[in-house]
Amino acid sequence: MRIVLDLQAAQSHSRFSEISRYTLGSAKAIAQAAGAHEVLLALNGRFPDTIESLSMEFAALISKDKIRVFENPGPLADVDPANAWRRQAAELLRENFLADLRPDMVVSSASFDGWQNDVVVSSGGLMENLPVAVTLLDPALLHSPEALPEHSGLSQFRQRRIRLLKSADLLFTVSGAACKQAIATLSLRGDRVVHLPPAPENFSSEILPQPANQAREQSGLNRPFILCASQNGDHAEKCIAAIALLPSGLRKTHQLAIVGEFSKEERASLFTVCRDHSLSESEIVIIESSEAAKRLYGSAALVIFPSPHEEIGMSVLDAMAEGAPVIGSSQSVFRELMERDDALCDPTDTPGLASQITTLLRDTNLRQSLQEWSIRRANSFTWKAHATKALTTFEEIHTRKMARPETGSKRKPLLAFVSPFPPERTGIAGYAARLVPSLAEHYDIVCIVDHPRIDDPLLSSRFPFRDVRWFERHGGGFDRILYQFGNSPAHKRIFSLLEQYPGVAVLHDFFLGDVLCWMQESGYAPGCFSKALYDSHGLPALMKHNRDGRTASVAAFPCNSAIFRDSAGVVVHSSHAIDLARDWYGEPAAALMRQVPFLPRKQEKGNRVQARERLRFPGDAFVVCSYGWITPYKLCDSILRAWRASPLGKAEDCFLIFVGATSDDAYGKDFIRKVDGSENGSRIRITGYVNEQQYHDYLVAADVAIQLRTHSRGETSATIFDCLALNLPLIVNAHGSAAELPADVVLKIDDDFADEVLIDALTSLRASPELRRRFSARAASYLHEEHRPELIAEMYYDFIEEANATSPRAREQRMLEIIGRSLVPVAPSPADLAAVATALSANRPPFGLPQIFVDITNISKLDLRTGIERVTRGVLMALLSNPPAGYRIEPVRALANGYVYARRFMAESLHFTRNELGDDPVESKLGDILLGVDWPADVLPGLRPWFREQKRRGMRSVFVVYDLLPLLRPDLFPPELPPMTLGWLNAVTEIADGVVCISRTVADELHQWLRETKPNRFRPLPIGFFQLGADLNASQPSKGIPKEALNILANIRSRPTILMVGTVEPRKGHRQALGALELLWNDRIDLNLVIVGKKGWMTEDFAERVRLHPERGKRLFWFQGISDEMLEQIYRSSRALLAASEGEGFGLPLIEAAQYGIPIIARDLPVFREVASDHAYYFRGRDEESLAHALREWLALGKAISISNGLRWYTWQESTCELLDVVVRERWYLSWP
Amino acid sequence: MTSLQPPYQEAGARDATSRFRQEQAELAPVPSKKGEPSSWARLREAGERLTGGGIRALGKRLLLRFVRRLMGMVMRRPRLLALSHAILKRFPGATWWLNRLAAIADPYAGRIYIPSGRLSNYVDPITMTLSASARVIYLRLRAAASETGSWNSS
Repeated sequence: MRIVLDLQAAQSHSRFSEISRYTLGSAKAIAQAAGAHEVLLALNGRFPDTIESLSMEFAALISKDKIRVFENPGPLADVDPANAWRRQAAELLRENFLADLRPDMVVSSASFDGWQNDVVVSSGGLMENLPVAVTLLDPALLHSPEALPEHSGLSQFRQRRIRLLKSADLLFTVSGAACKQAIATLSLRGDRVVHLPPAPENFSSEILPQPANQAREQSGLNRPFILCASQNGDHAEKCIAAIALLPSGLRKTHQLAIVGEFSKEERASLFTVCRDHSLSESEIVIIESSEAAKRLYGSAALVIFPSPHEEIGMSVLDAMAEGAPVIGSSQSVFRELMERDDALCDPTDTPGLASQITTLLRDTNLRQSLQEWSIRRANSFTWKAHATKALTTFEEIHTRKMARPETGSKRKPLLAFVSPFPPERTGIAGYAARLVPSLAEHYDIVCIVDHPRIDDPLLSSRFPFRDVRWFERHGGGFDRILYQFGNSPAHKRIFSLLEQYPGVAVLHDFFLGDVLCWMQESGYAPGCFSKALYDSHGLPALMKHNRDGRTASVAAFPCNSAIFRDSAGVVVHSSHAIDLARDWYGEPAAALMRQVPFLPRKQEKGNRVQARERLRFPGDAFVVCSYGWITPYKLCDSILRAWRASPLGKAEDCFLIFVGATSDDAYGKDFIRKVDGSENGSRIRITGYVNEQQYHDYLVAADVAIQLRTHSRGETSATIFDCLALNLPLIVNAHGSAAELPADVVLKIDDDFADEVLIDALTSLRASPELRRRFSARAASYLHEEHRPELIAEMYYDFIEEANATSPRAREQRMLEIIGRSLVPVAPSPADLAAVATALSANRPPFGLPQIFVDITNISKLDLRTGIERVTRGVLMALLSNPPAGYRIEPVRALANGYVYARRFMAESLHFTRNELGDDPVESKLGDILLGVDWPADVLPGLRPWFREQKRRGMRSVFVVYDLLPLLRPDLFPPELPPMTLGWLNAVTEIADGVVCISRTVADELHQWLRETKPNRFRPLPIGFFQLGADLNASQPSKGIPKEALNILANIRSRPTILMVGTVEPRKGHRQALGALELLWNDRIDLNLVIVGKKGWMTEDFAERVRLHPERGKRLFWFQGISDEMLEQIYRSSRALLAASEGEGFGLPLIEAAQYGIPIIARDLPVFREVASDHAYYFRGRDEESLAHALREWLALGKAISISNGLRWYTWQESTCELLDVVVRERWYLSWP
Repeated sequence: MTSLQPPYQEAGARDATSRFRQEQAELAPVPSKKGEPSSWARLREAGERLTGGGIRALGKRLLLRFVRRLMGMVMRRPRLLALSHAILKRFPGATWWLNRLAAIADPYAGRIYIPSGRLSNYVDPITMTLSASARVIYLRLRAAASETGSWNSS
């Protein structure tokens, strides 16, 4: 069984309220005891602050993907009549969401919630057969409306809730008394109401981190105490009055601890009452937290529960379980829980209560007896027993429900049959004309067509025909809709109709690229093919389309995901088509499908002799025909080859006929040449295009048919069934749908057959009339058994009805119709409709591959071509050129209020010839991942609400951390950068599900920073790292070398060159390097210093120093904004790379230097050691002399200079694989805390 | 060949059609209870009647194009962007309005997909701010609501 636990009651009440604790205790127990049952949690998105904490509470019991959040438009509180439309819509949305989870039981305990908050409960609004169990936690509300505050709508609200309780399949009550009360008040059968008592909470160390004595000291309790557990000031006052009446000896030795969340006024009032009763403030302690009270139960001399309205009794059980001597109000659930009269009290009888307390405090034996009884009695209530009882009841209800027969309506549903009909020149028109009469046994049918005339008088007189414009206006009035999809322009209007009115779609062709291409190029629906290609297969498909052209992309991609997304169910004629859907879109698409056998044409038997005369075959000739267009996909070459090599090719009485036209392309012309050039050319013919009569003659005249295929695209061959209908022995290869034909019906050869096999097949059929007769007979019986019109119509009926009852799209359409019809005093605004649409789209179950959203915000705005942008480009291109299996890559960019798909930017940067895609807001689903590889530090902190919303939908966010330098060395950065970095990092540590650093060093630094700053997080933050790629070519390198650069390059090559690469900013060590070179130049050491990098911040003085330097242009060069190609030339011309930076996240120039095999001189930083290990020469010291000294030593090494080309570096592809290893496969390095 | 929409001669067809007509009658739109239109609304209506909605559409297009260019210019200049963020922080109402306009007139947005056919009749500015699937649902909802007349706002 699949059990969905609706935890709204725990969301709308305080964590420590009885309702919340009961709901959570029950849910945890059921989840723990579920065994083979599957348990899911449903949470309301209108309580966003509760979702993460509740998810964490269940983390050990229920996997993340089974904690689902439903979205609603808000506000919804019933108290405001202006919310009525939204609330009605929200109820339907919740029911629709729950139905999508396909539950066998939905359990809700928020039965009387929703008056003043956004809790949504309902039943039967959309789904009459949704199995519901309701836990009644407020039985007092069943028949005491006067207990509720006055309000005009309150009575209606209560009535609605009473209806909900009455309609539930099962009602749980927390006490036996409430059980009896519910049966009597709601007139329910006894077996529908079950008493499901709570159990004491198992105090974990998480809840009770402090020992009891410490808790006592903190509360100000310094001697034995009586604990009065009351949430109500009146009851507390009664306790105070009773304490005041205690003998003075007892009063002196005992304190009174009152538990409750009291307002300031209530506290003041309590102390006034104390003074009135001559009690000093030291005798009374108020404990406001229920959590703190739990720690005190065990050490209390006596615990009193004076409230007469206690309905659940969780706290009572907690106190009893802790072994406290407990007395409680005789009017509450306490009587049932304690089952002992001497533990009951009447709190309104103050002297009586005082006397009872006195007795208990003085009589140690009695107190001990109470203590022992408390423990024994509390232990008889366990969550395990609670869960076992609940699960057993669910099973009984489920079995009962399954056994109940469905009572369906007897009238035929009204079906819109949307399809081309004859005379449209498509095979589907004929198919529709054959199917409709049989289907009319089950439906009243209106045929919807997109052409002006019908040429079948029988059909048009029997069925009403309407055009698509009429249907667009009236489609909502149909009970069922059946769309016939094919890959020809005859179906052009059906795509938009399906989008408007979801129905069952029949996919005659799995690949729909041809019709979509026609729609786009004819101007009928501009951009529709690009959109379908992108929607179905993502950017890689568009890249292929752009690279290889239309024909290749039409042949390669089905482009039909919209059919699966929008339809209630999909009918296909072969399991091969279902396999294709599974391969392209995964199991959810395949689950929508049903195989219904093809409905063959009825073929008149015809006169074989006359047909042969008309076709000029000798009467005794052996005629083999292959029908259809002559294309490489029909393997006509193989047929021709096998024919020539077989005895049939040499026999005078054997004819091979290709019944169909050849294409005008090279293949067609070549094939004609081959046929003409064959020895027995006169007995091998190509008929060219034939009309219906000629086609029929060839079918009748033939002795054997051969229908071979390769590269099938999921279609079912009507010609094969034409052959079978005329009982023609048939040779097929086991490819596509033909592979599913029974082996005794056709002569089936392997898919990838050798010519000899086909020769054998032809020869044996020619040689054995008996074999031919056997195939003929079996074909006839097979069609009768499996392809009878009435049988097929029945299968259609079964599937259409099943889809209508269970499919999310059909349900969704019904819901929209109900919402559209809903009449309320306050009509919805467009914003309300938009909120409903947004919530519904968010609640939809995921379809298609999970997406990896790659953040490219900065490069889509302004590519500064710095390190971060280079990483973004490298990772993006690696992901697009080689997407990880099972994921779809979507570049996205951040706006002020959320992320949008960066389609337009991608289209421009990938040079797509057509650019018809828009930047829609990102839609995330369960399993999606946002990969924050870019650094939109200005926008991200403001996107916290967006990230929280996406998290509710199941999206994970993982961010790349490049370095913490602005925080660790703020002196090296402009003043605005450290706070910006801090803001970004704070946001990331709050919203991220993981961070990936660009080196282990940065990961360690981040871990250290987290330990020191301790940001606020509910769950651990996993930290990983990956190594950056360094193949320039994979990150869209810029090109171009200016002419004047050639002289400079020659100059560089003329003497040893020390190269520095990277933005010129204080931390990069340029000042130190130039100073060191000056010292070397003074010592007549002839070296170049080449600096490549843009001028960054805080370097005006350095820029001026270079500008005025006497060596500038001679031995000192600074290049800014050069292309990657030019940089490559400079690398190749240099003697060594100098990495003098005082802090880096990774050190990409080290890798680049290694690629060109030039030595590396690097500052001795952990990150450089991590990247270059022994493949670099390291120096220390921040002054010019120490670097000059290091350079002198390095020069002196001569041949002993360490070579960098042994350094292991990654391509962007490898780097991205490592990144995905962390992000997708969650191979983390560290976790905080 | 026979023409489309023939007279219904068979009982089954009559049953289906009459039931359909009945359902259509039941679902007929409720007459609008709006008051007299304002002079601005009358003027707009007259303008739309004369130009087929062309002037209003042109005006809207020009405004959006202007906003798009302006947004593009601002977004390409980080300092200007930061300045405008700083100024707008003080005016949350204006910020909300501008955000909404920015979503419609996003200079990078390209062409937002709108379903063809009858659903396109229900497109309004709010449509452009929704995600692709929410947009189609919104239009279907508006179509369903307008058919039954429960919602008469424009």
